Amino acid sequence: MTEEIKETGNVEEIEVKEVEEVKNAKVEDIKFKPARGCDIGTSNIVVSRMKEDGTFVNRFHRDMLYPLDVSDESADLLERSDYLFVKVKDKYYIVGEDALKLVNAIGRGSIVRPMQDGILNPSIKESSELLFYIIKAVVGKPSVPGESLRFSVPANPINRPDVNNLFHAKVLESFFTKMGYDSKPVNEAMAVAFDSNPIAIVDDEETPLSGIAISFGGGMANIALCYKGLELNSFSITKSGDEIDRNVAQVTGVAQSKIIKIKEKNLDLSNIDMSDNIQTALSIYYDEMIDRIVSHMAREFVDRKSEIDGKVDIVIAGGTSCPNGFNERFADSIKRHNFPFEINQIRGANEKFHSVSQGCCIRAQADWNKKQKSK
Amino acid sequence: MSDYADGKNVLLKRPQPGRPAGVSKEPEVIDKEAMVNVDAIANAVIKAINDKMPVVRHGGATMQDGSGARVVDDFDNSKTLERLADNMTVQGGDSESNFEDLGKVKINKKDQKDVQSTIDLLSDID
Repeated sequence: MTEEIKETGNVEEIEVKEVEEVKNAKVEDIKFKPARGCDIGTSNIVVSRMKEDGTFVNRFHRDMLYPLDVSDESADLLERSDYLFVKVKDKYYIVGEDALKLVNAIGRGSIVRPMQDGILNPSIKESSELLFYIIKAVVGKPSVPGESLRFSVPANPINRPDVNNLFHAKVLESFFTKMGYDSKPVNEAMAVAFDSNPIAIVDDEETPLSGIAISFGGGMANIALCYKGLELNSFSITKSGDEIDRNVAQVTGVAQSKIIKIKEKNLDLSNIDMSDNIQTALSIYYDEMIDRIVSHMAREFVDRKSEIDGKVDIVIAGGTSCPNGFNERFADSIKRHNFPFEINQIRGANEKFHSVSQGCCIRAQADWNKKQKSK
Repeated sequence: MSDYADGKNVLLKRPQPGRPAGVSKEPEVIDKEAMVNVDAIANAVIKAINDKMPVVRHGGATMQDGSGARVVDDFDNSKTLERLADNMTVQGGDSESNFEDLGKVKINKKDQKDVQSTIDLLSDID
């Protein structure tokens, strides 16, 4: 199902003509290059494919569910509405944007996520099954047998030694293999680097794919230092966008689902209305989150004795970094901390929300090319 | 055991039980080269013990051994995780959904030259 987007939070309004082109042709009929990228995030699943002319077509879906007990009432509600759902055992799970609408309308219960802190949510027994349903429906079938696919995985968090991403990566690889893809994981922050191409300047010469890439997701921030496309160092830090929502909901007494809506639709970090409690709290918790990540980051690079010659770019992406004014606040925080390298410039990815997925797609294109050459 | 008296390393004669302690009038001079390096022995013993300490295998986590030192568990458990993952991604027979495809679409044009040069660079990297 292809829908025209008018306003969907982090995602800006798109060119209607382009959407119509895609809509009329049906995404499945467009001539795509084989190989696709997939960002399996805590908040959203994004899939990117590339057209023959190099244009990216990104499909995305909210990675959230609203559980309803199976009963005559809930069956009746679903029959009378056009809610999309998965039924597993004794529960219906309303999927995506509808989950958010329903929890706001009903005013009780809460959103559950098959992912937490960047990996499969261990507190939901059916998380892998639910996620598989969503992934299958968003990613679709491979266009050619053994089509290359790269999916993003977070690095292990430095502040949660109990979290290991290996099982998560294996589960996703198993999903995609069963769907008929030739899939491999790619570090989430490295995917941002592939999409946004940070530059290191050494002796007035530019070295591509060299610098720091950061993905601010819902569950965590992922950071990578790379040189000529090779990952030198990577790690993640939990407590990112979702933590802001939770904290703001707690201090303002407003439901978290409403905070998410406000954050995604109205928040401008360069123009905060201090008479508005929610905006003020969002602004304060954004500052705290940015400072926490930057401070961990600086210490980690120093501790790991990370070195790179010349001045390097920092590129930023991810849904949590989407509000206007984020880059400026991040740059202010960088100035207050000591890094073991010189910073050239700090810039946001052109498409912050889709950057990880597009980077995965670029990596998958390289895999596909290599596979074709070796034939 | 060595003691220090009159600017020299000496062995003090220990007092017999019930008698006062006193420095020997003819102290025994110790050959320094023959002295035992206690630190070296202690380190060797600690190393020998540590080498024989059992390491608990537990999902690649960093563990503490008996001496309190941190050791990294580098046991490769990827095969176990692969088997687990394969068996946990089977959909239950009683589950169903009312959709076949999901998601909204957004188009993004990028500089094709830039993208191609990145793809070319990455094609040389495993």
